[in-house]
Amino acid sequence: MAKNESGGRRFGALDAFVILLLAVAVISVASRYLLTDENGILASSHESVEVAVAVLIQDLPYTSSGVFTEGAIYYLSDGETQLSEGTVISDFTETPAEYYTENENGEPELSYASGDYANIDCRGLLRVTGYYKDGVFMIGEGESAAPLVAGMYVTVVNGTVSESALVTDITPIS
Amino acid sequence: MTESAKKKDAADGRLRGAFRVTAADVIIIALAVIIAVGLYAYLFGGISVGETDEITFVLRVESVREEFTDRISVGDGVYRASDGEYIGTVSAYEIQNSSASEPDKSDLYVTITATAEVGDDGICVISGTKILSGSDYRYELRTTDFYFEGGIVSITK
Repeated sequence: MAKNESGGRRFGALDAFVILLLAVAVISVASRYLLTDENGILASSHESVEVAVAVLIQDLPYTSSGVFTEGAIYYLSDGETQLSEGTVISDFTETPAEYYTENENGEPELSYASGDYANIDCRGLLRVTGYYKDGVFMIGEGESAAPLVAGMYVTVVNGTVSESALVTDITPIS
Repeated sequence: MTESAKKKDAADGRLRGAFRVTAADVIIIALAVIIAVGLYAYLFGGISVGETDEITFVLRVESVREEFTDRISVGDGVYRASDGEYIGTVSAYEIQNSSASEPDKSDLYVTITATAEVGDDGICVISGTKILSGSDYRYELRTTDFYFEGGIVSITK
């Protein structure tokens, strides 16, 4: 720092350069934390994709037969928050509900409900819109966004029906 | 003013000048401190102060439907289902006939290798989750392709 005529110090060009350099360093570090995600890349909006989610809804009462038909509007929920809304891709297939009984040896045995009022199992495809993050399909937005992978249970709501559905597969719709 | 007085003033001036601090000096010093703290946090932040060790634990997933038994592969990354925090990597898996009351399903034994912080009490912690075996502890985990839940049956350090 140069001295002026009275002996005091004068703020010079070199001082300004040093301060500017330090300011750039601070801004760089701040930007690194504020603008990048955990992968070190600039945070960016996610590309929306459509997938076909295969679900299994078990042990539905027979009165719910025919609820999940092609084009029917549904939404997915985690039990509290609506995560996604879409349509049923095709009519769900319905089969007698599975249950377990014991045979004469006391061993568990797979069986199927029968009769006019028997419960049913439904399988079908739901059209779901979301995005992929780190290879995982995500539904919902912002803080409520959640991953959706096979093996998870989600709540499917269709009209007056709200049922727990097991996700069995997720396939991108080309 | 006498010569001695002038010399005394000059000496005082040098002494005062030696300790004179301008606004620019304050700014520079403050920025230097901020940068030093920031760089320290950037370079050394997040490093555990506890001892770490590689562990292997086996998670038993009961009553897995047949359509899911091929969804686990060696090398798959395993994440905590609640927040996606990385836990470890699948190093092995085994399918066994289910011992539960559902004969058409299987039990899946997933071996996961991970780096854990080992506390003074010997308890291993991964991303804030204690790794403990026993029926009281259930773990909800996932890969990018499969969600599973189970209890730990063995831990090897």
